[in-house]
Amino acid sequence: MWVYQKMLQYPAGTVSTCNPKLAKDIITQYGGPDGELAASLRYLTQRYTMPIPEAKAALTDIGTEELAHMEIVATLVYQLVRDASVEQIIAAGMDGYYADHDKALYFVNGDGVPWTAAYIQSKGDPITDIHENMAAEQKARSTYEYLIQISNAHGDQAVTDTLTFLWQREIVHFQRFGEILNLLHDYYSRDHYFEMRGWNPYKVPDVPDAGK
Amino acid sequence: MDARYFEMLRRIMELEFITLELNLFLDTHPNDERALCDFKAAQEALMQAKHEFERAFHPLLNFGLGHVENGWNWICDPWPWEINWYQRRG
Repeated sequence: MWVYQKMLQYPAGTVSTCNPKLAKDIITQYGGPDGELAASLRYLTQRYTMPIPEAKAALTDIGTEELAHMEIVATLVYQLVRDASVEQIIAAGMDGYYADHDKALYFVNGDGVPWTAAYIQSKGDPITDIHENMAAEQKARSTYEYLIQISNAHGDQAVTDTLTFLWQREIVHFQRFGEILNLLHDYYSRDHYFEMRGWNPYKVPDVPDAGK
Repeated sequence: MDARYFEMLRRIMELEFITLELNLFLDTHPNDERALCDFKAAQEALMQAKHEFERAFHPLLNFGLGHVENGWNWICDPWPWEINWYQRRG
């Protein structure tokens, strides 16, 4: 089960409480393809088919930390639109979002495309899943770098500091997943046939014979 | 909320960042004695800081895992997203 802790993981803040244009860009890390919701759900749903304890633990803990990051991103968006008028929301091009959600948080990317489970994968092959996760961390790192450029262009140092914290976490998670990948390779290079029943990563799959 | 609320909460965030980071490290290095030793030291400081905060303000965890004192103040404002740490207003 999960419990809620009544604090953010990082002391997030914004210089402006009236910058819907910046909020509209940052929301992609809430509900976009490389955002925190996708990261959290991807890791938490991959846990069940991991064969080694280190992988089950890392996916549980990193998946949980991503939920905390989702809350930080939500806080930035909430704070940035807090004092924005409808006129300012229209001027920022956020009126389409406003028509559907007012200032409520919803899982979309910067262009309003809603979140979809198609962003993530859970393949049942631990090697495949950890590679997916390493790629996901790199994609999120790139996104944070673009968002930091945008935040700097707006001159919001507090948003930049918060995004920089989240950017650093992508790098740490990438490192941990890399270690999990090595541990999985060690695991599969050991002899333990009795644990491999029904599934062998090195077995050539049965291909239907078209000639028969 | 007085300045002490934010000071204590910030200290808890710092300590929990240490335990979280060491937790992830230990997930892939479970036999690292030094990391485990650092984790335990940070955890002790974290638990103490949280207990002091909860006695002064409100529980930090729901479902009976936090210390409840001064009535059911779990519901009290500000909630985490309502605090702007740059402007530090609730």
